[in-house]
Amino acid sequence: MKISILASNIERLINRVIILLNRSNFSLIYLNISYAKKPYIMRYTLEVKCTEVSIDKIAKQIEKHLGIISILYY
Amino acid sequence: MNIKKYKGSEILVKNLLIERVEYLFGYPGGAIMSVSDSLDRHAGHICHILTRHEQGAIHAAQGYARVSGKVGVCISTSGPGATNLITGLADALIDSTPIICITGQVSYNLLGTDAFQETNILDISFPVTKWNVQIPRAQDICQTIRKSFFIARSGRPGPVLIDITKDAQLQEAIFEEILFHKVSYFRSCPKVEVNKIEEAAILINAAKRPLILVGQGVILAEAEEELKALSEKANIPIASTLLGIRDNNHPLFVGMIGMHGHYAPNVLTNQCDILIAIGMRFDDRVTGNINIYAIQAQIIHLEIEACEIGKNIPCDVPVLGDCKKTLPLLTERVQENIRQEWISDFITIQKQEEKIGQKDLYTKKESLTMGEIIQWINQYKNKNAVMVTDVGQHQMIASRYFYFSSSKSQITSGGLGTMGFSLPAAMGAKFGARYRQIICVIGDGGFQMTFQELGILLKNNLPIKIVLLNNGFLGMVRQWQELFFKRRYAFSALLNPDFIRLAQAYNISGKKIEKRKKIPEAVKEMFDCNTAYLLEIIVEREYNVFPMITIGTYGDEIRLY
Repeated sequence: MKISILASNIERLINRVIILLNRSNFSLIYLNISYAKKPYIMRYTLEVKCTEVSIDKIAKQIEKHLGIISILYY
Repeated sequence: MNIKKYKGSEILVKNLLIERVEYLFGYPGGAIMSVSDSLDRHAGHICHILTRHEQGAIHAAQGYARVSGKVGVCISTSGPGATNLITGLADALIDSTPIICITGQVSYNLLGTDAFQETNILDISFPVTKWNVQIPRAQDICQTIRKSFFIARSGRPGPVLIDITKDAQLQEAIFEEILFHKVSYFRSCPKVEVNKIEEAAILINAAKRPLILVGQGVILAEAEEELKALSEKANIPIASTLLGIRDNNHPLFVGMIGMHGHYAPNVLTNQCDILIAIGMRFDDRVTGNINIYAIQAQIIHLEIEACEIGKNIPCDVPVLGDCKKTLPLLTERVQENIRQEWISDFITIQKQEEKIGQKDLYTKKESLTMGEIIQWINQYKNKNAVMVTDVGQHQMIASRYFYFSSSKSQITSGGLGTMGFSLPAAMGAKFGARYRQIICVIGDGGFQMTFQELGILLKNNLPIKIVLLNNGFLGMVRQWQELFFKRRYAFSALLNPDFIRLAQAYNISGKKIEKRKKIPEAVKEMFDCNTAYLLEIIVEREYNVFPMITIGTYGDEIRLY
């Protein structure tokens, strides 16, 4: 599954995302962090090995964190 | 014009005063000395309670927060001081307790150099905090502290850790008052969707056998009256989780659900047609086997946090939002109903549990049971007493038999099950509710995990009543070993010290009881005493808590013996 997260530029926010994925034993295939349009907004693009049902629950948990603007997965 | 500058630690304390922090639990150390010094300067306005271990400090802050509804604050140094807070942070996160932990940190230029007492507490505490942050400069203190308090208490409350470097405490900066009503990109409380409430009301109106399951969310939202209004209007019985609201005076409260909960609500969860879950998260100790849990029922879930909906149990109608707002809207739309037959079902089925009650409360055996002691406590306690329990058999028995008559009267470690929680939490609770009686029910195992906190009693003279139920075993572990490990009692027997002499060493009066006829007198003496008191009671060694839903079962498979 590919995940695309739009987040504000807060230090260590990516750690929180990775920890939540690790907690459910999703193995990470790749991760890319880049600026999105403005310097205070970042885009994280990830690919993980998991099912759609399980990613739905994790996406909701990621979304509640301070600094996460939106999350998409496909 | 010269704008006055203050030291970072001074700014920190000023912000705590603005947040109306009265009590602060902590332990000083090298990296937090400047803050301790500033706290001492403001000793008339803010009271620093010295605990004997950082774990005690955070549990005390939890007890304080749970009983008062305010944010509990604790403070510790860097390195070991910070890592000792982790258990409490995990406990506060899972039980949604608003806590602010302030930890010291080595100077900014020493970060990452393995300096003395340096730990990377931010990365350690990520999974167990709602939010954590490091303050490397004094000018960031005002904003971060106010933001942390806002985050800790907004939405579903939780713990926030603030790590302040030593140089930020010593630098000078301007003090400014910042007000937070909103933090950008932070969903504190979701918007209420009225169409979902209407959908829920239609389901409830058509239901013949609805059941409300209530969790701690209702207490945190202070929506007890709103809950009772809904239940009374539509005559829906209320079952609660371990941490949920319970009122033994109210006829519609039918008891506790869960692994060692009451029989009737557990059985009837699998017979109801609508399950209305309010402020609870379907923990595995509540649901048992999720594949057979309430599969016949449609589930309406009132919850503040979107990620809890459908996490364990599929939900039919999710109602997001603060239940203080959603419950009145739902009550408006729900029709009055009688449902006499359904309510009487609870009374009939609960009778099947009577045998257990007889065995627990009116045993004919020579040895004492935990249940009868709780019964005597009910007899002599104040009406609005707070019961603080540890984790294990006594927790389940106390939750089942204690007579609850007011809100926020039970404090226990629910989600994490932290042994040693109750003694420091009881001390914290006493600071949070000065005029309420605090009864700390504790087992011999849990007592020995944090009994160093008796030192707080020594200093502050708190009249806490400690009831130590001593069975010489880690009771719940032993019960599982008996039931599932062929009675091989591996490492669960305890060789205990003389607890009364231990209490005497801390200048606490106490008594040890072994005979049934001496209990009433001893319990009365404990409550009559206006200082702290330790009542040790030797109870049956090999006693099992029933009913019990064993792992992987639910419904009719509840073990009664």
